[in-house]
Amino acid sequence: MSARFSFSTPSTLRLGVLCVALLALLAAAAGLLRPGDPMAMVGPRGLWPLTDGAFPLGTDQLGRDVAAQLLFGARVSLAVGVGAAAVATLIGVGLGAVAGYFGGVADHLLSRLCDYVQTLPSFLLSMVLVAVLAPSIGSVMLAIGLTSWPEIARLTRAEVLRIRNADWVLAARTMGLGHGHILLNHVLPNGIAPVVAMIAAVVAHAVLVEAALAFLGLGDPNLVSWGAMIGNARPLLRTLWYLMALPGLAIFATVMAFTLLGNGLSERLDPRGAAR
Amino acid sequence: MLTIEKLRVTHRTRNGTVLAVDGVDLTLRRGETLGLVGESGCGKSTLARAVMRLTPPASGRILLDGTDVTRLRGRAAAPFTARVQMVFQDPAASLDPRYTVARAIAEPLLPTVRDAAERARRVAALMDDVGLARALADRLPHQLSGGQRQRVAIARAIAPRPDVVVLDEPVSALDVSLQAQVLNLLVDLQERHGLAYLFIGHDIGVVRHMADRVAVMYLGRIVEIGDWSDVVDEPAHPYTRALMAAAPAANPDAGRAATRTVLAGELPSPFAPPPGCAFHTRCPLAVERCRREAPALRDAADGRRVACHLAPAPSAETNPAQTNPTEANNFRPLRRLP
Amino acid sequence: MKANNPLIVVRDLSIAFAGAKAVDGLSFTVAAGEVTALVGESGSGKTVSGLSIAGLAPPEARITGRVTLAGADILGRTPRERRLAGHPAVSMVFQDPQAALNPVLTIGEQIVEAVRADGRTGARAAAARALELLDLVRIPEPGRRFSEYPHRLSGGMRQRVVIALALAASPVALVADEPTTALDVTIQAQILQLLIRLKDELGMALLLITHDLGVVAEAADRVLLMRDGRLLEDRGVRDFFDGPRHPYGRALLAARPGRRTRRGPRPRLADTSAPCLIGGEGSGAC
Repeated sequence: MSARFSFSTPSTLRLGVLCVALLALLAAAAGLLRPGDPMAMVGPRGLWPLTDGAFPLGTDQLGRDVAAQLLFGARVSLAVGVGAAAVATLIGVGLGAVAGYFGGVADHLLSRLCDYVQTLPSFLLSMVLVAVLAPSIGSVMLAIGLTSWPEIARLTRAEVLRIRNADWVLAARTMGLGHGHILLNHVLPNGIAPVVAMIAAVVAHAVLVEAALAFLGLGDPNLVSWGAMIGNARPLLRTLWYLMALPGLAIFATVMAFTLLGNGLSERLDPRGAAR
Repeated sequence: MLTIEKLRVTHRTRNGTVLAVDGVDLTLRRGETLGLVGESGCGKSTLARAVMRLTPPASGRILLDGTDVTRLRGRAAAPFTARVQMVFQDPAASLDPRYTVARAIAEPLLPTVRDAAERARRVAALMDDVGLARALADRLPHQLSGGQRQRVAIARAIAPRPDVVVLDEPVSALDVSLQAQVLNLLVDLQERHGLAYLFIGHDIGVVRHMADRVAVMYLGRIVEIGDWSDVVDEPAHPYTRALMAAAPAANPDAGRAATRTVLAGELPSPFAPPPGCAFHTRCPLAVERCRREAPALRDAADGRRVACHLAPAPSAETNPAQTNPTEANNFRPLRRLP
Repeated sequence: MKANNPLIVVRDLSIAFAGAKAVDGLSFTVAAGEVTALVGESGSGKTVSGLSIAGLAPPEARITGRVTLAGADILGRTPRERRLAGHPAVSMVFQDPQAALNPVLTIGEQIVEAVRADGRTGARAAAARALELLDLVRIPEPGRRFSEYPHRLSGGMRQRVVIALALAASPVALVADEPTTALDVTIQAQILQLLIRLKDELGMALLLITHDLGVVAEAADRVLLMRDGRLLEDRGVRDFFDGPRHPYGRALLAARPGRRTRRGPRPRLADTSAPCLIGGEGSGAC
């Protein structure tokens, strides 16, 4: 039941936390490790990785440092992932909690809205939103967040629905406490665990969508993004294939890290799983 | 003080609508304990929830000192909410697993006691009152024993200084020794604070120990209500007799299961309650009239009220036509040796 | 109620879990045709004692001592091992009939399965035996109940099915662990009566594990009082209720509600957790 993290817990959660921490550290230290503008042309063109000590991961077709791009790209990926998940969480937990707790019309409306958003092709919706809002890191976050909240809302609703009839919630109601107080103090804290695990999965999803949008040229033009790196390297697949492989690997590692974190959290926080 | 008038509560389920509480009238007087007994599914817990206004009634009224509180909500309800509190059956479920003892007891004080220091003082006094060591203040429910948890739930219920406490099987989840301690505590608190208890139970021994008056429910209706010693020791309604006879004896000389007449059958489906008197399908005394006509709860001997066509009226003159004399002769209160 | 040659003999039974003793040097006997009540509060070791007699103790339990059934040593053997060794069966009835029945199998399928566990009975004979068992536990319309699922039955009916399952192995002894605790009073009385009738009809021994002294007063012939893994009293039921020798037994009787009389004040219920009660006989002045 306890949400405390301990390093004695084996496997998934531990690995997930370590990977995410490492990524965050690399992203934070990007400026220290590779100072200067990652978009600047600083070296010879098309330098292969592990051939020059000054550019350990080589340079691209314009002579930009690949290592610097990857590190600064991590910032964008993580920022968009976390930001989009925050938007999705805010909307999803808010609507799900209200729908689950109050039921009735609120619940009916939310369920229809979820159905509606989920039947729309979410990637196309994100593309349209970014295109309309003009590509920037904020609009990408918003676009991804606005399309991925329904699963969080559904899970939150289910959890709240389960807990709202617990005796301790009824007891709180008999004390004459307000619904807001009960929802925030008695219902959500006891049902949030699986939602937290899902939020990690939403971050992973957002990282992927961000890469895809950037690949299609819908990223922030002023920032390095792994997706954009892959997109730019497309014509060079036959010659400088590492320009696609390296950012691809970075995306894979990031998505994996958050997926591990999500699975680990759901294993650890699920009271039914705790007995196993 | 607390009056329930013609209360009806319905549950809607997939299989149809159930009338869980069917026209119940009850009065709870200041400082008394009213025991409410019946088998599971008889509607006693639903009645408790309706009194706590957790379940809206289909019709009827709940009055607190003459004020109709049935449909009060929000700010208008606030002065009455504190006056009726509840202790649930399972303290492991009725305490928020993430709330410490002190925080749980302080919670009902939040709306009225604004000052945190004053709240802390009240919490400490309440912990003393229910016999909880102050060292337990920072424990979480799972770090407490079953008896300690129920003490926390009781402290929380009496925190807003209520007049009425609804006790929904408060000791059935506890061991014998803890049960005794909690019952003693409830008796002490009642004397100290002049509380009125609506005590819901299925254990006749516990209700016998606690109640001043006892009401017996069967399929959503009250079939008998009166002084505890009359209802428990000399029941008038055939169902009450069966219920009391089924209760385990105090010692082997008072009754042995092997030789006892046990009420046959089980509670009829609440979706299709029998016509007439709901108990006629299991009643050893049932006559034709019971199958046709539902008996009303009316005055019977010793100031009790009984819902049975065959129960003798207070005196023969007041209601000569009501009971057939031969039927009435069959109907002797069952006396059990203590 | 006669037959005093013991069917089950328990000698010096000790059960430990991960070093902690749950049962400590328990010795008693159970006679055929008698109801022996094993009485105690939670944590007294009564349930795990019953489980080990039925051969159902959890594998991590460290069990020492000796339990014989009609002279044969049965301790540490599972019901299957006992059957293969040709020993008579000891069956168990559990507290919660909801949990003891498989929700996805019909009543009939479950009893037929239990009957056929002996590996000798054919499908047709097993079905006939299952109907017979349902009739034995007095389930009305056994033919109809046979093909119904557990959720269709009331709690009392489910407990009857659980008892029928226990009888499928034709046991010589039944261990019933709080068989009436989860039931309503009127149903409780029915089940208790049924168990006693079955004991008499089939000549079984009944070991009734309970915390409820009311059930003991109703049903038991002998009382074994346990606390903290030790046996405190072993006496006839009337003797026990007339006045237990051990202070804990006295306190337990005085802790029961329901002794109130019409006149006079409400009696104070005894506190059985007083530390002076935990020691041996006569220790401490309670």
